[in-house]
Amino acid sequence: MMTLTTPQRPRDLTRRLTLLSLLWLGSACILRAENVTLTDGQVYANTTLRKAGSNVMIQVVMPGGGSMEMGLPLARIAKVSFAEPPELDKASEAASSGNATEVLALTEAFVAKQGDLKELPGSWWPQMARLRLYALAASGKDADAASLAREIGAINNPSSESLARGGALFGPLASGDTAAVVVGAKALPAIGGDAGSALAQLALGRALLAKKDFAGAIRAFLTIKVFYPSPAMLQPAALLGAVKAYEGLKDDKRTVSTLNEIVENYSASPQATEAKKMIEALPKP
Amino acid sequence: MTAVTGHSLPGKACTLASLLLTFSLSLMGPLLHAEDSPEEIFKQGGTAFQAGDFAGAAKKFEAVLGMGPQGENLELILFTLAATYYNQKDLPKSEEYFKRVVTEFPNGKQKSKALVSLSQIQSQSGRKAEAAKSLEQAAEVGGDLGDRARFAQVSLLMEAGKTDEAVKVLQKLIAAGIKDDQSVQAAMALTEIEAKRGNLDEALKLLDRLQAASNIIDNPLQLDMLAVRIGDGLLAKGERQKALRMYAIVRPQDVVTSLQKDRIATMEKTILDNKASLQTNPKAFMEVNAANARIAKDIEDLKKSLDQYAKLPDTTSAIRLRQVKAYDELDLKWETILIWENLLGGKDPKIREDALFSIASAYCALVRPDDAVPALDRYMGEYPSGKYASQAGFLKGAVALEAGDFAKAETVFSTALEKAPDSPLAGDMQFLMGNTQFAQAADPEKKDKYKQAIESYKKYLAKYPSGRFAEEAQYRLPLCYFMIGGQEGYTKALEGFQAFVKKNPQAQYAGDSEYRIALCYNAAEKYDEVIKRCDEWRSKHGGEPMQAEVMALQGDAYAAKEMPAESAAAYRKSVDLSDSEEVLKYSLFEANKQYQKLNRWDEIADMFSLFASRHPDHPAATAAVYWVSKAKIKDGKAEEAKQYLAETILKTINDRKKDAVEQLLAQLAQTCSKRIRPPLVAKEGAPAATPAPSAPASTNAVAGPEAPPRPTPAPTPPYDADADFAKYLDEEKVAAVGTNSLAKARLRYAQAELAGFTKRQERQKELMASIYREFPADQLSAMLLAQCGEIALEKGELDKSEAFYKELMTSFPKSDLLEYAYCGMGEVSLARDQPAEALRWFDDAVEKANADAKLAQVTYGKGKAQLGMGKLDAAKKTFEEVAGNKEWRGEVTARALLSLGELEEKRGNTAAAIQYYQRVFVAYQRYPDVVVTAYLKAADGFIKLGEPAKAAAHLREMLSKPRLAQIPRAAEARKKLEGLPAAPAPAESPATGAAPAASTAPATP
Repeated sequence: MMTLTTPQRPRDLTRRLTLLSLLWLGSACILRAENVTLTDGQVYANTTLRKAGSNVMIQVVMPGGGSMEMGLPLARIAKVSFAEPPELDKASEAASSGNATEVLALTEAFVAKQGDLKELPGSWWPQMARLRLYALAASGKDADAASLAREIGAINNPSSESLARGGALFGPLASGDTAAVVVGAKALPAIGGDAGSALAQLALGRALLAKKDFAGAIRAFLTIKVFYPSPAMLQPAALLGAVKAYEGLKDDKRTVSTLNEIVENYSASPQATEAKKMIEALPKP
Repeated sequence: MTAVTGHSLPGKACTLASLLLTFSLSLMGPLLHAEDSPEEIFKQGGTAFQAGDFAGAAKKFEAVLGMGPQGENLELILFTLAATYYNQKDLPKSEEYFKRVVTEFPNGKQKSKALVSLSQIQSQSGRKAEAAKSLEQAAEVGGDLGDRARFAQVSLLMEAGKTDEAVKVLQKLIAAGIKDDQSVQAAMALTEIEAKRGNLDEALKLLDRLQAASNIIDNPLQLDMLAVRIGDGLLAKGERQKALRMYAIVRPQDVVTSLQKDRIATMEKTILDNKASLQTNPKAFMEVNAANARIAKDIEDLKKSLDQYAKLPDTTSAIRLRQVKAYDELDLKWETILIWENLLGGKDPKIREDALFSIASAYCALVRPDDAVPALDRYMGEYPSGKYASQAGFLKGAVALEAGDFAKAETVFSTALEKAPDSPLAGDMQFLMGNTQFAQAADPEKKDKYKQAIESYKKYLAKYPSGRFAEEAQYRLPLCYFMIGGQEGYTKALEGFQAFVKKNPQAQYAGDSEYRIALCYNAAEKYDEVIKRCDEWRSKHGGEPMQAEVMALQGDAYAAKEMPAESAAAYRKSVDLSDSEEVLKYSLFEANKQYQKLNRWDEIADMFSLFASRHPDHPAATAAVYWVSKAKIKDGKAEEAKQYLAETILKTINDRKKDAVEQLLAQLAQTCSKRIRPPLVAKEGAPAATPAPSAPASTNAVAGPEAPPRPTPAPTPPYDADADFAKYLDEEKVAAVGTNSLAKARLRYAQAELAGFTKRQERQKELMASIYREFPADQLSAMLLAQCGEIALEKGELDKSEAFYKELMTSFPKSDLLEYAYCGMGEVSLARDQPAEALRWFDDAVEKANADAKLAQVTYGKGKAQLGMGKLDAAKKTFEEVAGNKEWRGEVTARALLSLGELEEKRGNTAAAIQYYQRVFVAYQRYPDVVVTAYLKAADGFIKLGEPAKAAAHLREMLSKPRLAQIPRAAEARKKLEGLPAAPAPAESPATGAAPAASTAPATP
C-alpha cells in the first residue's frame, strides 16, 4: 500500500493541486524511468518523474484505471532505472582521447536540462556533469567550470564534494584572484586525492603561471601527469600548461618534447591543435 | 580474495544458494487463497525452508505440487522443490526438478536461474561439459542472471584451459562499456588474462578504461594490484611511458585502505537499509535476505583482502621508486622531483637520503642553481658524512660553474678538497677548480688567475696522471701560458702545445693545439712558418671546427707579407667555412681590404652579395649590402647599385624589428645625393662611355686642318637628387609592399637624410619633425624612436621624449640602439633637474646597454649629473675624462671644458674658470652655441674679477666674428657691452693688446 507524503485532501483540492502541477509541468523537467524502486522495495514500472520542491512527483497508475501524480520525498527513493543517455558513451569515448570540444557539445543539453533530478540514485546527470566539468576546465572556460562545480556540489556524496571543491577554484581563477586559487588548492590533497585534486592542481598551475611562478606551475601541472592519469581530459590541458611554464623558464628542450607529447598522445584534443601551431612557429634549425 | 591471490577469476561467486533464494512469494499470488489451501501449505513450506527444515519444506511443497498447479504456479513450485532438494543435498532430485523447469517452461521466468543451478549440480558431479552447456543456455537468456552465467562459464572455460573462449565471453560482457559492477568484474578478469598472456598493450587499454570508471569500482585494491603487475611487465619490456601510466594508477596504501573501508561501510549500510525496508514490506523478506546474503559475502571478501593488504609491506614506495627510475631514464627531471618529494614524506630513512640527494641532482640537471644549491645544502646539512657527501660538494661547485659564478665555484671546490682530499671526486674537483680559475682570468683585472689555474692543472696531473681529465689538463696548461701572452708566455705555450701534439696526435685538442702553435709563430712574426703550419693543419685536420680560424690566420700572414691575392683567397675561404659570427665578420672585412688593394670590386660585390643572401640576419648584413652597392658603383654600375639597395630595403621596410633598414635608407639617400660620374678610365674591355673620334694613324697629337673639330661636351643638366631617389623609392613603391605607418615614416626618414646630404638642413629638420609629430611611438622602429626622442628633447617636450625612449626600451630590449634611450632618459632627467635619477640612467646606459656610440654623451651627462648633485671632484674627473679623450674630440669636448669652467666657478675659482672658457673659443669655433656661451661666461668672470676692459674686449672679439654675431644670444653680448668701457685704441685690440682673450689662455689649465 502506497503511503502518500501529503495528508489526504478533499477531492476538489487534490484536483486543483493536480491541475496546478500540470500547469507547472510546462516548465519542469520530466523524465521517463523504466523502474522506480522505493526504499521499501515497492517498484513503479515505466513511469515519469519530475522535481517539485524537495519532493519528486511520480506518475502512478491507479488500480481502477487512470493515473495520478504522487509526491515522494527524495529519501524514499532507493533507485531509479533511467535509460542511459545515448550521448554518454560517445562523451566518455571523446573524454578518454582528451577531446574536450566534443565532450562539451555532447553534454551541453543533458546537463542543462536534467539537473533538477541530479540527486536521484540512478541519475546519469552526475556522470555527464563530471565529464562536462573536466571539459570546461580543460578548455579554459573557467567561470562555467566553477558554476557547474557548484551544481555538482549540491549532490551530497564525498566524490561530488571533492569534485566541487576542485572545480570551484576556477571561479577565482576567472576573476584573476590567483591568491585565492593558491590557498584553495592547498586545502585539497596534492597527492593521493581524486579527480577533485587533479582539477585543483590544474587551477593552481594556471594561477601560478599568471603569477609567473613558472617552476611552481610546472610542479602543479606535472602533478596531474604523474599522479592523476585519469581523468584523461585534463592531461593535454596540464601538459600545455607545462609547455607555457617551460617557455617561461626558456627551457626549449622540454617545451618541444612536451608539445610533441601532446600531439602524439592526445591528437584529438584542442590542445593538440594549439601544440601543432606552436611547433610550426618554432624557429627552424 | 581472488584479486589478491590472482589465481582464480575475480568477481562475485555465482553461488547456487543465493540464486535459489531469489524467488518471490508474490508470484504465488493466484495460488494462495484460503486456509488448508495451497497458499497456506506453501506458506508452511516457506516457514520450514526459512528454519532450515528442508525435508519438512519438501513435503509441503510436494503436497502443493500434488494439487495440480498450472502455468506459472507449476513452474514456481517445481523451482521451489528443486531448490529445497538442493539444500537437502539431494542432488539427483534437485536436478530432476530443475530439468523439468527448463523443459516444461522453455520461456518461463525461472529458466535462467534453473539453468545456472543445473550447471552447478553438473559441475559438482564432474560433468563439466554439461555444466558449460547449461551456462551457455543461461547466458543466452540475458539479463543480470545471464551475465552471472557468463561469469560461471568463464570459470569453467579457464579451468578447462580454454582461455580464448573465456576471453570471448568476457568481451561480450564489456561490449556495452564498463558501467556497472558486472562489467567492471569482467574488465578486471579480462585485464588479468591479457596480462598473463603477455598482451600488455591490450591489458593497458583495459586498465585505462577501468581507471576512467574508477568511481564504480568496488575493489580499488584489485585495480592497483593489476596496475602494478602490468606496469612491471611493461617496464621489463622497456616500455617506460606505458609502465608509468600504469604505476600512476597506484595510490598510497592509506588512500586505498580508506577507499576500501568506505566501500565496506556503504555495503553494510545497504544491508541495514534493506532490513529496515522489511518493516514496510515484509513480503519481500526472501528477496531482501538473498540480496543481503550476497552483499554479506562481498563484504567478507573485501574485508579479507583488506586484512591481507594491511599485513603486506607498503608497496607504494617500491612503486614510486620504479616510477622515478623510469622518469629518470626518460630524462624527465621535473617528474622525478615530484616523486622524490612524495617519497620524502615516507617513513623509510634510507629513501630519505636518496630522495634528498636525487632532488638536488635533478635540479642540477635542470640547471636551476637557485633550487639546486639549497637542496644540496639541505642534503649536506642532514647527511654531512652521507653516501653522497662528496658528490653533493662536487655538484654544488659544478652548479656554480655552470651558472657562471666562477669565484663561488672555486671556493666550493677548494673547501670540498680541503675536507676530503681523497674522495672519489677529488680529482674532478681539482681539475674543475683549474677551470674556474681559467674562466676568472678572462677578466683583465684577474689575469693572475691563469697562474693559479696552471698550478691546479699541475696538481691534477701530478696526482692523477691517468685521470679522465689528464689529456685536457695537458692541453689547458700551455693554453694558460698562451693567454698570459708576451714573449715568455708564447714561448712556454709553443713548447707546451708542441709537446702535447707529439704525445697526443689524435687527441680531441690536437687540432686546436696546432692552430695555436701557428698563432705563436704569428706572434713571433714568422709568417712563412705560419703559412706552412696552416697548410699542414688543413691537410691533417681539414673539416674540423677550427678551419675558418686557420684560414683567417693564413690570410693575416699573407697580408703581413704584402701578398693581397693570396691573403684575399685565404680570407675568402675562411668566410665560406666559418660558423662563427665573429670569424665570419673578421674574414669578410679583411678580404674586402685585400680586394680593394687589388681593385677587384667585382669580387667584393660577389662576396658581399653572397654573404647578404646567406646571412640576412647577420649583424654585418647591412654593411654587406653597402659594400655590394659601393662595389657596383666603383664598377660603373651605379643604377644597378641603387636598384639593389632599394630592393633590399623594400624587403624589410615593414618590419619594425629590422634595425638595418634605416642604415640602408641612409645609404641609398647618400648614393642618390649626387650625380655619379662615370669612371675616368674605362674598365678594360669595356666600351668607352663616349667614343672619341678616331684619329688617322699618321697624324700626331696636333690636329691638322682636316681633323674634325673636338666635340664640345653637352652641358650637364642640373642634377635633381629628389627625382633620382624617387626613381628607386617613393610612396607608390612603398605602398606596393605594405601600407603600414612604419614604411611611410621610414620613407620620410630617407627623404630627410637625402635633404641632409644635399645640404638642405631646414628641409631635413622639417621632415624629421613630421615623423615625430605624425606617427605614434608604438609604430616606429628603434632608430626612428631614438631620433624622435632627441627631437622632442631639443624642443623641451620632456614627456614626449620620455615616451619615445620608453617605447624603445620596451619594444626593443635587445636593440643596439638601446643606449640612445638610456642616454636620452638621463638627459630628460637632467632637464627635469633630477640629477640623481639622471646618474642612474647614465650608469645603466653603460652597464645595461653597453653604450658605445653615445658613450661620450653618456659620460658627459654623468659629469653634469654629478655636478648637479654637488659631487664636484667626481664631476671634474668625469669632465676631464671627456675633454681628454681624443676619439671624442668635438662638441662634447667643448661642452666638457665649458662645464669644467662652471665647476671652477662653483668653487669660487673664477680665474681658473675663465681659462677653461678661453680654451673653448680658441679651439672649438666650429660649435658657435658653445663658443658664445664661453665668451659670455668669460666676460662675466672678468667683470667679477673687476676687469671690465677685458670683459668688453672679449665681447667685442666675439661680435667681430660674423658667424657668432648672428646668433640670437649675441644680443646678450651687445647689451652687456653697453655697460662696459668703450673700445680702446687699435693698439689695445684683443688680438694684440694686453688682454687678448685667446692669447692669454694657457695651453692647458
